[in-house]
Amino acid sequence: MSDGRTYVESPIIMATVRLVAPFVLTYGLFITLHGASSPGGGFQGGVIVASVIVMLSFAYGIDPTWEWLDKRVLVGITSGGIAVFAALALGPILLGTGGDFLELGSYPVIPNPWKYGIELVEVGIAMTVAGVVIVLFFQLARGAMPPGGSPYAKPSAQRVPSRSRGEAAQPGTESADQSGDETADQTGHEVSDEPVDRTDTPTDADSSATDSGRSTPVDDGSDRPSPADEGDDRR
Amino acid sequence: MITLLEAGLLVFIVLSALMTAILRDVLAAIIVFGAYSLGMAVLWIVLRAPDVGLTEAAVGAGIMTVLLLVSIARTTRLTGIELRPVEINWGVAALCGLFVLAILATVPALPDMGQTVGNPVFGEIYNHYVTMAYEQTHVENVVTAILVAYRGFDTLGEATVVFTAGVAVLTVLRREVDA
Amino acid sequence: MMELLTTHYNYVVFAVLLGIGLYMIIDDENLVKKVIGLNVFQTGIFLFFITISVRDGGLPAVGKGSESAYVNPLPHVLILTAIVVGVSLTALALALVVRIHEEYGSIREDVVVEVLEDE
Repeated sequence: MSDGRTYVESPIIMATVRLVAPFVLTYGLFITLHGASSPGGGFQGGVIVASVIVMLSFAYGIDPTWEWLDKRVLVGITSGGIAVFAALALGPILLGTGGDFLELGSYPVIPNPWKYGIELVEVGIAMTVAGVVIVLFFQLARGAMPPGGSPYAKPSAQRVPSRSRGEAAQPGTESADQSGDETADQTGHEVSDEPVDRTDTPTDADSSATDSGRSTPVDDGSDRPSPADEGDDRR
Repeated sequence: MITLLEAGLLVFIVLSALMTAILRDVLAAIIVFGAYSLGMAVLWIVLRAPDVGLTEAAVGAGIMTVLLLVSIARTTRLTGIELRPVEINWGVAALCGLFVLAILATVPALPDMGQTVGNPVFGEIYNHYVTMAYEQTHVENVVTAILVAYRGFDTLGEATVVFTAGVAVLTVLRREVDA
Repeated sequence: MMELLTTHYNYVVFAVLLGIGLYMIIDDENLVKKVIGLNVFQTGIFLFFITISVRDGGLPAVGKGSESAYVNPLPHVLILTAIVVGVSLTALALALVVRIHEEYGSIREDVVVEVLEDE
């Protein structure tokens, strides 16, 4: 696309990146996992891992790299990181061992629960940071493309729904009924006589339906299942 | 006492910050800002904050520069680097000078650098963290122990902020197809 | 005065960096440079936090807690997280700049204001 203006294929850069990338990735993982015993941790490690992708996209072009990336994996690690952290934080309460929120030391069975709990939290942080940095990079690099010349609109717009659904459902148990509500609202928003059958308190459903319709137009677009998305986005 | 390394770094940092402000060309400013971040990263190491230095090098000098570059790549017509300075608005400069003076006025009240006496930062909490962190969490790196264990709630919120920023950027740059 | 400078030099640099950052935020017409100014301001504050955590002969706080001459790790934690939040916020600001460019065709504040006045 318009990428040809800025992207110059260079065999030197490509070869160098191919050589260096695995080492950088390993270093990022090392920084993440060794954060408990030496300087480092999830934030730094995550950024270094993300920089591997940034490097690849400099060598092989931003658009091809974006096409090559599996967006589901990207969304999976981004929201999965938060989910891991939240789950580990809630774990001590849910297990009923008398631990408080985030009291990682109260996990039973695991040897040295504080240390390995902290390591796991670091991994979660690294996942989120890496995912977000990759997303930020590609969005900023591709976002300013002239309207009409946007190759990303079609393939990724269809993946958005499954993506945001996964996010809504993942973080912990308490949000499960909330996301259920949301989908009910959405169908209610589109088909007007549905919510009365579905929910036992029509007034509540009504108010929240208008709320979601008014305040979150973006949600509205991205949360719909993909077949409906096709027709709607084109309009 | 100030060491030569520290003095050199501080001069480098101030000069590169000034150049970032003065250069009219955005690309040049971003490059100088990358150098500024790298200088900062080295300064953090010199000030014995390796965790912060590592973060600054990876985030400030690395990712931040890349993000700035890609965002100007398509918004600015890039025709080589020119080194023209901006016209300095002396009114605003004087205002900022006043601001600096106001902050400098508070500097004598701050504790001497490197001294623990009279420095409220080195209080009971410091002693607790430094002496108890390994015993309580079995993690050698006290920074990690505080980050995840003692201030875990903070960090959870923080990871959420990062996540939210990603979602917000997706929202802002979401393209209306055929709009 | 000289004595103050030798014991507080980092704080002076901190004040100067805040001034430079503030100048860029207020006066620069280029929105991307405004964002850079925001970052310069921010790193100035980081310098303050890290400086206050230093102690003479202190070591980085990595170890089993036997020695007592560690630098203070708490400001490090605060700044560590602040840097990461800072880059996220910068990215959001840049996204808004990119968006502004899409709407108004410029990333210069004066041009954007002109376009807005014409409408």
